[in-house]
Formats: sequence, structure tokens, C-alpha cells
Amino acid sequence: MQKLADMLYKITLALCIVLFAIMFAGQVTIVLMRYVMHVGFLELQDAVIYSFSCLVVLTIPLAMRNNRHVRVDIMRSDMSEHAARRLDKLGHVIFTIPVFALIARDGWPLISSSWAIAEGSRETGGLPGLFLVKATLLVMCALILIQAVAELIAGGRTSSGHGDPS
Amino acid sequence: MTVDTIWVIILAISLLAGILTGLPVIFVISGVPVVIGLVASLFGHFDLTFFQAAPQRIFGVMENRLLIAVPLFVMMGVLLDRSRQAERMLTNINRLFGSSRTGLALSVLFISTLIAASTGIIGATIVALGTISLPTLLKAGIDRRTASGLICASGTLGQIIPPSIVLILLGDQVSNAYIEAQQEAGNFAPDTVTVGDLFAGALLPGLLLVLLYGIYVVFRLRSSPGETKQVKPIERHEIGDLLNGIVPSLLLIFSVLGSILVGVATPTEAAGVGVAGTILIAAGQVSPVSARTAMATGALAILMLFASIAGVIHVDFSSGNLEPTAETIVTSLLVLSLLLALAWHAFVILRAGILMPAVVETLTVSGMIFGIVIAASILSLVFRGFEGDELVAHLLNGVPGGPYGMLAATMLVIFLMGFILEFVEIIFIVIPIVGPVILQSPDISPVWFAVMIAMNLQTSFLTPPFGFALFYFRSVAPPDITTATIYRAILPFVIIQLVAIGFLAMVPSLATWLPSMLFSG
Repeated sequence: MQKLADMLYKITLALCIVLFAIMFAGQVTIVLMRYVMHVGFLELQDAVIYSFSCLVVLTIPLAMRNNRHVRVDIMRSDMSEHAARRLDKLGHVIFTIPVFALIARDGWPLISSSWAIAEGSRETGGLPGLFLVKATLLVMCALILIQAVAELIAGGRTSSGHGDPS
Repeated sequence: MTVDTIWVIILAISLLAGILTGLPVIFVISGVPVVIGLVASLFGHFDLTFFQAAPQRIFGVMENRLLIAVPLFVMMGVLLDRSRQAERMLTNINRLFGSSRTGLALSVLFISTLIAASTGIIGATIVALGTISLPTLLKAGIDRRTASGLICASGTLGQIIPPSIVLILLGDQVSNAYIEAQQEAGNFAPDTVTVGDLFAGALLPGLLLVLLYGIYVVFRLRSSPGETKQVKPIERHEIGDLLNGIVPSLLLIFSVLGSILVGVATPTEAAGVGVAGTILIAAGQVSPVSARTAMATGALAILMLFASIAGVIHVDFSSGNLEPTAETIVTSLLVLSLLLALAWHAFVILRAGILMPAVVETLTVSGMIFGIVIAASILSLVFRGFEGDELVAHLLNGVPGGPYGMLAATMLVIFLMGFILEFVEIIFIVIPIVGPVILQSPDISPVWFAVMIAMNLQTSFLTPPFGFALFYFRSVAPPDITTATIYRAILPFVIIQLVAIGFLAMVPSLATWLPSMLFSG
């Protein structure tokens, strides 16, 4: 499970770097074309927005994996590492897993209907493939759920390893 | 007390308890409402179909074009931080003003303002100031309290001096709240509030803070024994170094902020240009050769813009397709070469090992922000499911003093929340709840409202014991500066903040004058 989570993290990170590059390069090109050449392309605009949309959801599991989501450390700093890890696991069981399972369940019908019509851009002349972008919502849920389960299992191993030596 | 009210109270208490456990805030503020919603539905007090709106809300965040500026501005700050531009400026300042106390303190304040305007990352700014400027300030004979307070306070200026991420997020939330409020009040075609309005609105209050800090520092240092005159003459190359550090940053700030404030560019476009400029600045630090090519690229970009405005270069787009005329080809080649030059400089900093860590950090920070935004949208769904919005409206209407009383109560709540929560949480939780009520009043300008909140949030970074600015400063300050010293040092600056907020509260035109001048047409 941990290996799967590691592999998925690397893939997601690589994908996000590519998306960020597309978003930035696209945005700069839009600016140059608009202010120097006075032309604009909807396809380019859509590419930037699509990349951004995917980044919104895909960076959340990245931050989770790097343990960078904001915490309020007032009480946590007094906890033992063991207790803090147990609390994290409890948090996954009662918060993380229900929330993202629920989002996935409720998002499923919206996304499957988007796939059924291969939904494209709202603008005429825009890029096709909006259905792929929407599907990243499910990808996010899957990544977060896998990461949570991996932390539940791995955390169990390490904490028993740190346990009482006697 | 209705059943809904009881559930809202349970929700609020559980949220507070959950946040204090130290679990990631994203999971708490999305998880607590979901769990409570599920439990309440068992009693038949909550309709689970409310959750079905959650994915639609997330799609709404994903499609929000305004927020594209967020990762770009984050990238700009991270890259400027990694390129050690700030350090260079501070080191040069130290060399030039190291022997004059007031001069040194004021120049540190000036550079912090520049860094604040260009990066807006509190932690990075304070760490840079603490490691580079603090020793020089102390060596020049400035007392610990003044030096520590000045560094912590000027490190937070990035939150209020535009372009700032706080203002972008506030702009998004306040404009939604304003439209909702005006529709409620019967105005179905309200003027929209833009991020540009907020940038313009926050500029003067931000500079007022800088001015007040400066006056305080001069006042503190006035009585100190006679200032030593410049011991060593300033050499020409030192001034050159200083200008090399300051001029590109100034150009970057003016182009980014200027293009938004004069209404030419959207914040997202300006942020894209900002990142491009930052790549050039960072590449310019790598080697003397790249410094020259970076400067040439920047010059080419500016020249092309002017050439285009003057009509010297243009493309033929009249038929809806690019016509392959000579002018079109020349212009396209120029644009293409500019893009290639930019790509080459990106490659330079990639090879120098700066770009990749900066992108990964940008993605992580963006993930933190978007995580909170999405989690808060789930919280507000459940909150509305329990009719918490009506409860808050009822409570606010009970506050004496009309809209101003409501605003004062909101400011107090935000100030208190600032002791434990960060700005993203506060903005996305509080504004959607109170904004639609308070902004119904024709007396309350949305820009003024937003800038007041921005200044309040900035103050919360300074308030002991949990001000983030103090944490960052503690991590770099030498051990002989005790935490108690830092707390005492920051007190006068917190008072300055409160004075500035009070002044802004009494003179709303400080925030509303510039936007009305710039965007009236």
C-alpha cells in the first residue's frame, strides 16, 4: 500500500509540474498575444483554465502527502509522537475517509453524465475534454483515500516498532 | 431555541475542539460538518441531499478564473525567495547604511516594503530580515526591542501591500457576498467589486502603516547618543550593486501592480508577467552572462510593448485568421523569440537547481490554500443546511449600532479568530456568513470592508502568543533575545496597527478614494 501511495505521489507530482508549466506558459503567451499582437485564442485560454482546474484538486493530495496542510499546533506540540500519530489515524477514520468517500459518491453522477456526452468547453471554439478535467475530482478523492489508508497501515507498523521494547 | 440553532452550536463547538486537536485544518473543517450532518440526519434534522451540492461547489472553485492568480503569485514569491534577491538587497543596504542608526532602520523598512510588495510571503521575509538585518541593526546600536519589533512588523506588510494573496481571496469572497447582499436589498444590478479595486484600496492604508512604523522608529531612535558619521566613503561599485538589486525588483513591482491599477491587465495576466519577470531576475543572479541576457530579454519585452502601442508592429487579424503578411510574420517571430528567451532563462535556473524546488513548493502551498477553500465550501453547505446563515443574520441585526455595530462585532470576531486560525480559513468561513448581511447597508463600501478585514488579518500575525510572524522570528533570532522580549517588542507595533485600523474606520475614503479615482471611468 505504501509503495502504491509512493508511486501515485510521484505520478501526481510529475503531472502537476507539467500542468503548472502549461498554465504559466499559456498565460504568458496569452498576455503577449493580447498586448503585442492584439489577438486571442479561446483554445489557449481553455488550456490555461483546464490546467488550473486540475491543479486545484490534484495539489491537495500532494500537500497531504508532504504533511503540509495547515495545523493548529497549540496542543499538538505537547503530545508524544506516538499520541500525535494515533490522533492522525483517528482523524483519517472519522474525517478524511468519510468526507472524500462522500464527495466521490456525490460527484460520480455528475462526472459520469459529463463523460457520457464527452463534455467540452462552454465557449464555442474552445477545447474539448472538459469531462477529463472534471474527472480529476474523483482522482483527488481516490488519491486522498489511498494515502489515508496507507498512513493507517504504515503508521500502525511504525508505532508498534516504536513500542515498548520489553 | 430551535433544533437548528442547537445543531449550529454543536457544530461551532466541535469545530473549535477539532481544530485545537492539531489535525490538519482541511480535514477538520470538512470532516466535522459531514459527521455532524450525518448524525443530525439520523434524528431527521438534516437533509443529506445538501451534500449533493458539494461536488458542484468544488467545480465552482476549479472554474474560478480569478484564483489562477493565486498559484502564480505564490510562484513569484517562492522564486524571488529562492533566488536570494531579498538577501542581496539587504546585504547591500547593510554595507551602505551600517553606520547610521536611523538610516539603517529606515532602509530596512524600505526594503521590507519592496519585498512585501513583490513576494508577500511572511515567513520568508522575516527569516531573511532576521538573519541578515538583525545582526547589523544590533551592531549599529539599535536596541533589541526596536529591532525585533521592526522586523516582525515589516515582515507582515506583504499581507496588506498589493499584490497580495490575502487581497485576491478577499476579493473573490467579498464580491460574491456583495452581489448576494445587494440582491437581498433589492438592487439587482450592483457594481461589481474586483480584485483591482481591493489592490487600489489597500495601497494607501498599507503605505500609511509603513509611514507610521517609520515615524515610530525615528521617534525611538531620536534620543540615542549622537549618530556616528559615515566612517568609510561609499564606493561607486557599492551603489551600483545596490541599484542592481533594487531596480529590477522595483521594475517588477511597478509593472505588475501598475498594469492592474491602471486597469490594463487582469490580476491573472499581471501575475503571469510577474512570474516571467521573476524568472528573469532569478536567472540574472546565476552568472554575469545570464544577467546580461536577462536584462536584454526584459528590454525586448518592454520595447515590443511600446512598439505595439505605437502601432509600429502589428498583425493582420482582420479576416479572423492570421494573414501571412510581412508584418504578421515579423511580429510573430518577435513574440516567439521572446517566449524562447524566457524558456531559455527558465532552463538556466532549472540547471542551477532553483526552478524545480520552487515549483514543488508552489504546488504544495497552492494545495494548502485550495484544500482550505474546498473544505470551507463544505462547511458552509452544512452551515446553511442548519440555517446558520439566518441565525447569524439574526444575531448581527441584534447588535446595537446598525451596520457599524455589525462591522465592529465582525472585526472583533476576526481579531479573536486570528489568534488561532490563518487568513485563508478566516476569509472563507467568515465572509460568506457575515458579508451578505453587512454589505446590504448602503453605508458600508465593500472595498473599505475588505481592506479593514485585510488589515485586521495582518495584525493577527503579530499578536502574541500565536502570531505567525513571531514564530518565524523566534526561529531565527539569537537565544539572548528572549520570547518575552519579542512579545514586548511587538506591543508598540500592535498598537500602531490598531491606530491605523481605527483611522481607516473613521476615514473610509483612505481605502475608497484611489479605486474611485482609477476605475471611475
